[in-house]
Amino acid sequence: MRETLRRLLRQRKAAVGGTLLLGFLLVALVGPWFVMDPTELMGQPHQPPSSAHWFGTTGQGQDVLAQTVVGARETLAIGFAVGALVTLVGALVGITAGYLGRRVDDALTLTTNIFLVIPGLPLAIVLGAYLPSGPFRMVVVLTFAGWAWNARVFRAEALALRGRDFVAAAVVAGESHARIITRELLPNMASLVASSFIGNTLYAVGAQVGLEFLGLGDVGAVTWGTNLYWAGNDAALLTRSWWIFVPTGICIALVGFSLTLLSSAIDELTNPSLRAPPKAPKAAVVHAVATPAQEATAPGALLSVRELSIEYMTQAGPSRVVDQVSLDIAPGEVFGLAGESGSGKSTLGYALLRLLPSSAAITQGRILFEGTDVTALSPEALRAFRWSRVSMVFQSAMSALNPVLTLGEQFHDTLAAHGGGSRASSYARGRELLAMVGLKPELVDAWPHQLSGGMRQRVGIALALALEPRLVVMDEPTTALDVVVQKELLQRVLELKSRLGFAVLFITHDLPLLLALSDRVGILQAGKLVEVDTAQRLRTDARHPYTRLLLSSFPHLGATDTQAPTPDVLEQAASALKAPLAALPGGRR
Amino acid sequence: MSPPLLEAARLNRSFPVGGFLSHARRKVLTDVSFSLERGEILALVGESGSGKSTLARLLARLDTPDSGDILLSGENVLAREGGSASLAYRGRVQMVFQDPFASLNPVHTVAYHLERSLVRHGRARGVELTRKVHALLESVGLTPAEQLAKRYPHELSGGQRQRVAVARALAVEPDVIIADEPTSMLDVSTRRGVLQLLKGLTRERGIGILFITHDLASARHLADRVLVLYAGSVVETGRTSDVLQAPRHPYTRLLLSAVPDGADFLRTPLPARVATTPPPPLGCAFAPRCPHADVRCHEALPPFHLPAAEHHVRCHLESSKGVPDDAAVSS
Repeated sequence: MRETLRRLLRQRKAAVGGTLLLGFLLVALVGPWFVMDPTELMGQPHQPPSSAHWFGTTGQGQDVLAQTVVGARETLAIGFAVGALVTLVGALVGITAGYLGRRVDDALTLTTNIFLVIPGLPLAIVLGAYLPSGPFRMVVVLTFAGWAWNARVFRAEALALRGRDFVAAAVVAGESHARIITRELLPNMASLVASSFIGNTLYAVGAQVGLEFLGLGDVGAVTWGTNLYWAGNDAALLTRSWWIFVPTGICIALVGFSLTLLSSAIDELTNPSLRAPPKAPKAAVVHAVATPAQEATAPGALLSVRELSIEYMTQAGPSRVVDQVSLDIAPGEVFGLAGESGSGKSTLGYALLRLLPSSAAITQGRILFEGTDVTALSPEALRAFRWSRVSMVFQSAMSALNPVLTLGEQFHDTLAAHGGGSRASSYARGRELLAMVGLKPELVDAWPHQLSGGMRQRVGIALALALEPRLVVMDEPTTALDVVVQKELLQRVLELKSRLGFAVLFITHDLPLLLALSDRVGILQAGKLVEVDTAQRLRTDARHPYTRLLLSSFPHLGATDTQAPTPDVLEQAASALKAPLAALPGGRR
Repeated sequence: MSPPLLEAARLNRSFPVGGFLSHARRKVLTDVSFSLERGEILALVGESGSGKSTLARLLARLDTPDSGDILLSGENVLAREGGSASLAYRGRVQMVFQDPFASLNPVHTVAYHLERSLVRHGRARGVELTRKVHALLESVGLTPAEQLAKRYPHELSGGQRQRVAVARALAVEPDVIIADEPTSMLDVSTRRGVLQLLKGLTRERGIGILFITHDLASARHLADRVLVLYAGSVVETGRTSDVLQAPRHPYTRLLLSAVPDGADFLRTPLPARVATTPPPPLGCAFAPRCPHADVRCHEALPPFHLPAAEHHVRCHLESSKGVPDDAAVSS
């Protein structure tokens, strides 16, 4: 909480908005004691600013400065009161409806919708006619007219949170509905509550000034709205007495401005994607090690990664995710890369296609593909290189496929981007590729949502093979799939590989799978490649303790293996190593 | 003989599909029955969509079955309590969720999660509360407890979070824990520790655990008995050694052949056909994929057969092997 406040203050928008608003609050609180009586006739009417009356006098002779300062008090008090009430009523109705669902939701949503279709202003006018005059009337009228929109927002949020496991866990723990709403759901909406409160206050100030300007408030009170009402009545515009309404107008505009700034600051704080991303770290050594690296390339290797380091820029400074990794992949080889979450295995895979997010950068080392330095490719050369030489199969096939395009269109997109021919020829190639991965060619006209998870991943593989690349990077393509589907898919990949001759970099945390699939396996721990060997040798005599820990972590189906518990020391050491990496963006589980 | 600790009898659950005014429903669970004894681990295995998690939610009383009974120590709780579970039921049946990143509330500390369960079920109060929280954390291997109690979920690793979730379930001193894929979201090096922890609970406290998983290898290590679910029906159940070493149902054999274990697991073909049609309304649900399916399989739902003691298989092929039908089991 304290950390959130500190971050809020560090933001420029929040600082400006907050200072401005605090200034107005201070004026509203103590200002009235330092100015003249705003209702007394202190001088001649329609007097421009002078030393006696800094802001001039009104059409009847009151002091405009006094009216502006005193007016702030009731205007802001009503504004904040309505802001709080509208948020409270809206949140309670919305969360109750969203959380309880069914009948309660039906009834509350119907009520909310009825309130939403009644125009606010006539409702306020009618209601105002029946209530006793005074600030209390304004609060009731504005709350009544304004809560419904909030209820909808909070209901949507509650619907999203209701499905979360921690709510189910609280139900299983035996918590009551009221307690779940107030202690489990509401605290998770702190940012929504804050930004709604600010937004509602803005609404309240605006609506209140509007109603009062029309004469629908208490015309005897001194508020910004009534100031404007009297300015209109006293023909301030006709007599060109600008000083009567300009100070109040500026105050209203500034309060609105500060609230808008605050609300936008809260949005940015809670939604990091609205913030400007941190700059990627600069390359420390820009190809200074070019010659030795080139010499180190193994003869006949398809891909050579040399001393590759990748850093992410985080709020705590640069963080090295891949640390001086060197590896070679031969043509037609299946190279397995194993590691736990945060080990940098996906980052390494993405780097081979130079697909790193903007906050990450290659700070050292080179990627040589058939002699070409991928790290030094120009944007155009990179575009031609990607997919036609090295392609990728992603973990989540659903998010890798475009949900609004048929499969055929996606094949056409891929082929056309690399100088392919007509739509008809792309569709023909699409059918051919679908058949190749064991799907019906007719599916070329299907949409991604019509396919099962395993079928989507087959499409992902078909797309990756569309341009006959020499290397396919597969980033946990089977993690979300059932074992049976996984085996079908992998057998298909191996069969295609022996037919088409591409090499595979297969990334997963599942070491037994990797050992069965790969020719050679590399073990990545906290960004460092700790062991590389053939699958055969790793299975029987792994040397690095971390490799042995990983191997022993998987129970076997067959032979009796020892039930040695994982030493907690090792577990803790592993989690301690991962801790600084846990906060990194782009982690793919 | 005393009644089993937890018993499910012919549980059915379907969900409405299609839009407004549509009466179509999709069956997720069909006549699922099983029992769980004190101190026993029963593994529930099946692929995604087989109804594992729906069954877990029914038993945790987060959802209500369309028909069927849940018996706790022989007492029919659904008949007595209806839709919402009593505090007494919650005090005896607890659940550990799949994703420890989602099952702990990010705004509350570790201590809060445990204290609430302790207070709500009257297991501790006042000064005793803090002591009990620390004892719970130590019992699941989270030390130093004083420090960890003050942390927020985001300050813990996945394995630590799952241990907190187990500690929360233990706080109410339950008789049954439903563990819904408790290790599938964890890193491999922390998985085994959580599994050992669960196994210890059955030994030390006599808690019965329903262990839901898609990982047959973990099931083999942890479970006393295995229940295989396919398309919402129990297809095979029995002692772990029987089911996993001598599987009878073609689906169990298919699952076993797909476990990534051994150097040549990718070289052996899968003993199944590619499913082209959804499970039929009539007959065996696995028939469209079964390599041995014949006319019977497409026409009638097979009864349970008993090839060995406590080993139930729902397959027509069993009867042709000359094993006598046991009609009593299918009820």
